[in-house]
Amino acid sequence: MSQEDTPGAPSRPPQAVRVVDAEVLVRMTISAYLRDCGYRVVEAASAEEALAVLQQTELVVDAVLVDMDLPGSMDGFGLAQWVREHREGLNVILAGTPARAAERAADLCEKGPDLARPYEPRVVVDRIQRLLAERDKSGDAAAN
Amino acid sequence: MGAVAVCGSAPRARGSAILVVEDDVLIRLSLAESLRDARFSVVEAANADEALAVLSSSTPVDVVLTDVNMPGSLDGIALGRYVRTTRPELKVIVVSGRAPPAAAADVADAFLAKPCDPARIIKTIEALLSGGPA
Repeated sequence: MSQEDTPGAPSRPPQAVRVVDAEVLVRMTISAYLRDCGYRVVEAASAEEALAVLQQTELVVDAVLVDMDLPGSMDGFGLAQWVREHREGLNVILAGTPARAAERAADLCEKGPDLARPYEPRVVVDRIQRLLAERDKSGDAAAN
Repeated sequence: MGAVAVCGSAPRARGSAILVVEDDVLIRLSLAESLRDARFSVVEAANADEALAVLSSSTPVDVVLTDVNMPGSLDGIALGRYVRTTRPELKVIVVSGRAPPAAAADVADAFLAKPCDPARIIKTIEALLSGGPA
């Protein structure tokens, strides 16, 4: 993947994106793309790994990109719910098939299912940029 | 030897691809960040099964850095043995919090005890990729 294929990198210090996906080749590819775009990426292979990282409060996280069909004791929806309950303000982007998303995502995501999987890297970056921009706008408005 | 000295020791190794196989996510992310900061290309695998998926793909890998004790179908020693058999051109570094298993000598180019100092790991990788002793 070349730099030419990537949208502009964030102009501020790198924003941190957590990528939670059990398929290593998928996780590796989207993580590499996000790093090329200037994001600081932390990879997790399961919800349990993601929780271990998210519970480290000293580690900055701006957004979590999570596959809804994670194997293990907690799937992507469960992880999204945990984030909503414990890390208010942290953006969660759920990725998966439309059918599965329609099944469960509506009650977890304010704006419904976010992304189709397999990932379209540019769409992922656009989505992250929009979410973080919205969050920053909200933060500015609250500060004013 | 400090990090600065390490940085100058084998610049041609920088940019090489390191497959980090570690089931403890906090150790893996810390190690991966240290290696990326040192300008290595890093692929992260949470266990040997993920490592096999990476090794079976077209993903470039120059060095496999693996923990010994991991859940899944293979431990780090078995993974090292697989690499020796199928990808003998790759360097293998085994890390463990315990004494090196006897089999480590057969499958690894270097053994490092946990907790691992990132500078020591980088120095070892550069030495191996430069053809010198680890």
